[in-house]
Amino acid sequence: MGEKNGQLKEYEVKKFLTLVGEKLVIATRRHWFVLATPIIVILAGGATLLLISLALSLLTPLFAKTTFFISSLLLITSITLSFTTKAVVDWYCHLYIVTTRKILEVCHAPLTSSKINEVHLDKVRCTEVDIKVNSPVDEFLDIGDVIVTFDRPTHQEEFIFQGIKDPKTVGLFLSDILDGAQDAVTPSQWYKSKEKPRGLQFIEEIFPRYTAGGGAI
Amino acid sequence: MNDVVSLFQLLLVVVALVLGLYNWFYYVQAHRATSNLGIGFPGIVNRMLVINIILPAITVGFLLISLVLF
Repeated sequence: MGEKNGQLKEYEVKKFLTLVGEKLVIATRRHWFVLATPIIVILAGGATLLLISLALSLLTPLFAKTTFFISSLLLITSITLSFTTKAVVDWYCHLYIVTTRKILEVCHAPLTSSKINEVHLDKVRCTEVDIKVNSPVDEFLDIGDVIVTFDRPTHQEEFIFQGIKDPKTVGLFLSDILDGAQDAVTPSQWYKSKEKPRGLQFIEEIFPRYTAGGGAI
Repeated sequence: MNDVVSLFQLLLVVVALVLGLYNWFYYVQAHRATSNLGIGFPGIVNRMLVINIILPAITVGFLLISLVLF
């Protein structure tokens, strides 16, 4: 699965496999197409600035020098390339990693921001896995969001895999994985009663973990 | 009139210098980030990062030469 839908190999994300018995499930970036919009905007901005400088050097006698045009051409190219590189690097350093023990979002924007969002699967309960495709273009290119909702003891939290490739398969796969992860976590931490150890079996049969009200006794 | 052009060119020199310095820091930070993450940049991104430093340097050189000569 990781090799089919993810763009990262296991050895690339080995650093994030820190827990005992942890195995990589999915490691992916956002689809490369999400870069298209910012790059088109940046290039359009650069082209506009270039046209302005060309018009200035052709129409205004004050700036009617070849050196002015060449220097502004160099500078505008530098600025455009800098913004383009920033967009590419930000995309490259934004990773989604799913292992058998946790879900991780790593987002580094050098000189700007850094974010690591880690959810330990044995500490939360997954209540929903939603798949969202936002536009016909996304549908055509098979890009979309997978939204995983976790029910934490104090609040609900959403973990969003934004703009990933093949969201339907990833969503269904995540659903299976999270189901498996919760099966692995015995419901004893929620239901076990020291006074009535036999009562546990009875409650499990009547109220499986997906009942409304969170299976409170 | 020439003074205005020279002043404008000096302004471009400052902008190019700031951009070059920013891109230098960006290069260092980007490589630090990828080494922390344990992933390396592909060749094309590496080249883009290097060009981002070289291009403003060329701009500064060109502007300074044109300021002195013309």
